[in-house]
Amino acid sequence: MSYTRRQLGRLAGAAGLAALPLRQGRAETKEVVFGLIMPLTGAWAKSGELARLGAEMAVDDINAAGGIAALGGARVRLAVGDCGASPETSKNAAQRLLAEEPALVGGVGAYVSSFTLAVTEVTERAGVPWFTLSYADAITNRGFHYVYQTSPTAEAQAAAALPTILDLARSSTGRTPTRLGIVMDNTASPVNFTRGLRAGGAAKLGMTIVVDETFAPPLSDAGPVMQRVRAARPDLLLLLPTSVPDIKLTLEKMNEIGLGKGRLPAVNNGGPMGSPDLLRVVGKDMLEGVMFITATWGMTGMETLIAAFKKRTGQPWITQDSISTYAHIQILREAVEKAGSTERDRVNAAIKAMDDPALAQKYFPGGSIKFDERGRREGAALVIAQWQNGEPVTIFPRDRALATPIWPKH
Amino acid sequence: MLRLEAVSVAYGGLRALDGVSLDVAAGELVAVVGPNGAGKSTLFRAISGTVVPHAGRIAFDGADLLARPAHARAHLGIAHVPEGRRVFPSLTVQENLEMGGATAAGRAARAELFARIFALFPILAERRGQAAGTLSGGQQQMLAIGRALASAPRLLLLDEPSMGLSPAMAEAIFDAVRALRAEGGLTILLVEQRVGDALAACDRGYVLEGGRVVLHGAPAELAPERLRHAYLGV
Amino acid sequence: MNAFVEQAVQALAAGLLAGCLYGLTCVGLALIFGIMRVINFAQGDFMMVGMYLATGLAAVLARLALPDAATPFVAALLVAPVLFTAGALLHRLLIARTTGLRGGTAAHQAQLVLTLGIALVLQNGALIVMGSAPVSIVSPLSSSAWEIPLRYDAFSTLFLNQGRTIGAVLAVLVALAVFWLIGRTELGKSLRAAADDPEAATYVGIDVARAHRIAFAAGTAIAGVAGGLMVLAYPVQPFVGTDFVIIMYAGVVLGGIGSVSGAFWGGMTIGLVQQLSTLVLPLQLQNAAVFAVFVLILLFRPQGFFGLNVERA
Repeated sequence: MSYTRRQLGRLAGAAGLAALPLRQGRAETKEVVFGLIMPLTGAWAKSGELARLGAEMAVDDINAAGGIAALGGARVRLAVGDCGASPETSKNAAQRLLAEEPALVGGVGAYVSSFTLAVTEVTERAGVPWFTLSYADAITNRGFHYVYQTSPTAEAQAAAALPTILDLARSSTGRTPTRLGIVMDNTASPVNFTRGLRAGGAAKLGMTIVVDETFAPPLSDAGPVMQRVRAARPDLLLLLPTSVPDIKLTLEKMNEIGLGKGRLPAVNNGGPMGSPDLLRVVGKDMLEGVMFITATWGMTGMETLIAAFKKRTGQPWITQDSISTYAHIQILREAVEKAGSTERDRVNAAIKAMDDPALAQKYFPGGSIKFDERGRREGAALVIAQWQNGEPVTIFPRDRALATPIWPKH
Repeated sequence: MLRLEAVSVAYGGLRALDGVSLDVAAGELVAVVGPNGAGKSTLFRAISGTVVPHAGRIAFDGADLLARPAHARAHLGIAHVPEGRRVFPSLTVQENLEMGGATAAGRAARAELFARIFALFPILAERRGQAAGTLSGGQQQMLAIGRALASAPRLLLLDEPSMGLSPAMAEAIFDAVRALRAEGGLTILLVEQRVGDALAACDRGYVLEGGRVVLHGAPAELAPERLRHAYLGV
Repeated sequence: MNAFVEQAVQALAAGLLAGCLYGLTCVGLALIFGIMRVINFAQGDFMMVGMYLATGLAAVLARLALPDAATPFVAALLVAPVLFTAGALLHRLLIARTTGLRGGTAAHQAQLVLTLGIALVLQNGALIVMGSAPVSIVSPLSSSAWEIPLRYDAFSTLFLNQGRTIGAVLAVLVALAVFWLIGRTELGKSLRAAADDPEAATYVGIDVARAHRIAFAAGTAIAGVAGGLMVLAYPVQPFVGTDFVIIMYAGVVLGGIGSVSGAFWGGMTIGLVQQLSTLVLPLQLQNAAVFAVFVLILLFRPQGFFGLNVERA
């Protein structure tokens, strides 16, 4: 016997309806279950772990503050699933979580865009409101109704990144860089990120691409590629390797040939660039002055959160992984409060009705907690953080920055 | 010196040796003849340890040989020149001889042994630095014998030394075997396809067929008609 | 034009430095492959273990009164005795059960499955023990260079990374020591004899199982040292071995199967092609160029640079 996808959907719907009377039958809800699916094993385990720390802290904070008021102080519980290292295992993790937690109200995950795509295939069908920090445009391009992206999408980031960096340069030095260098590997993220720049995007901003090198990871020696950068003398470098070994090799080579420590401003486009692990592998001196673009980072207005997180987890600083999941759980709480119910559709409706700039300010640079019809957060903007003295600190937007940028004044 | 008692060897159920008993006294040259597949090479392998008999005993100088691992037997004074020569092709002639001469007895008398080998096979002295794999078949056979002699053996097992060689080269090799025998001091067990030559040179002979000793005795007792009977069953 | 000359000199230097390290990794594999005829899938993972060990040892050594610059290299060399012992044990307990005088297809299949299994155990064991985050030795040497001005203009300079240069010199010294051991010593000759013909080696009194154990242990130790020298530039994570194992096999095949010194030149060729190809081809084709050259060389010289072209007797 086999079902078509539509039949399965109907079956799932019927199962949901059947469960409804049970839930309403209870006098009051004692427990609200939020899900978290992250890569807790495999190559992305570190980021998944940081994300989980953020979610756990949010749950503890909510319960310490008396739980969900609208449900008589119901406690929040976090149900955790490991999505492993592939879309297949991600999908399985989502199915298992739904089977084991019939009372699941909403969830967050799964860090890597391709994992998020797989997980939300399952959660959408079950009608579970789902939040993610993943960037891929495809996540909210499928006509889904229960999926929410709080970060700017990859395309939006690519379009906004260079103007944002130039803004930063201008505000730091009064001058605008004109000679752009690109060093990247051939993985999806940098390829998508730079496509628009080559197709006239850089020229429109008054920049000439003077060196443009793409390599297939892993690099065995960054010498040849960085030598070309040195010869071309750009005044801004998009340094976009995605793997840690390649990041190490390129940064060491930059230092070796005298372009390091901020002498040539270098910008990466990914959150992993701010990972505490990178410090141990690459070293403080190599990272000094390196910038990266991210959807959120520790900013003014988050001081209490940052201090509490560091104290609780022993992590040296808070990353976008932890901030985002903390925010996602808080948004879910807010929605359950507003809905006064744990029924998924009512919670989802409450999310769609939200427009809360103050809540957004707590966790993100600008915009509001307001989602468009595709599930994208309105006003989502970029943060630029820079390694300074062994810690990545926010330097842009300037009104939320925790440090002033190091930018060479040629 | 060497005594085999009712030795049986089977390869995966296939019986290669079936209760073979054999004696070799010090200083003798004993020939083993028989048709292909009679078990001659298996007999040699059982003595030098690369096949393990499932029944029987092998004693060398009164000591139980089966209690010793194969690689230890060379150090007891048994040198095996295997069928097909089996020199070390990537090693030079000199290195092949050194490998043969790595036993205690071989080390102690290396200079004399090498001198004797080079006297017996002058071509080896000329080709000392050449990789053994590039030698001709006859030269490889000389090297294989030389390698065995370098260990200062007391018992030399020679398996088909003239096989695959030109008649002239086979004759040269056989002359060397006769010369070794004439020098004395060496006990030789010889498997040879040139039955006539082998029997003419030996003290005693064994005829092996189907893994069994079907005939043995002095060369005179192994007259051609009896051999024919053993080989052909007529 | 001057920029091109500078790049060419730089690529040549980078190729030589990378080639020395690749060469050493290939030597380790060639020892195992050449002497035992065992296709060792775990060789890259032995290297990974060496990288972790060297990182840990460097952290310990840093507390001693050793000069800072020497720490990573002393750590790399100290990996050798540890992995030699581990390799010998591994051979005695596992590998020996699939090798020895009983060769043939069945033995080869057993070895393939066994070494693949060891590789998986090492990778996932490292994942459990060390976690997935890459680690590395952080030393100022890996980002400092000896700057050699090129005389034809005032600007062009050859940068020789200090960490890589010292690592390459050590790699060559270790490789030379291995060549001497294999080529000149009685032990080395007996290893080669055992490789040429295990049965005949037994007849001259060589303990073939012991020879194999030494070869396997030495191959393991060399992989570890090469990893230790590599980790200064290349961070280690549990699956890093797979980045290198293909290069190792390509180098060994290029050098000629069974030739330990040939394997070094095979590795060197890969390093040079990888870097020099960047002068004429897009960077993305760096690794593709390696295999294009690999196929070309084997087309004209199927036995590799130093492969013996004689029939096995």
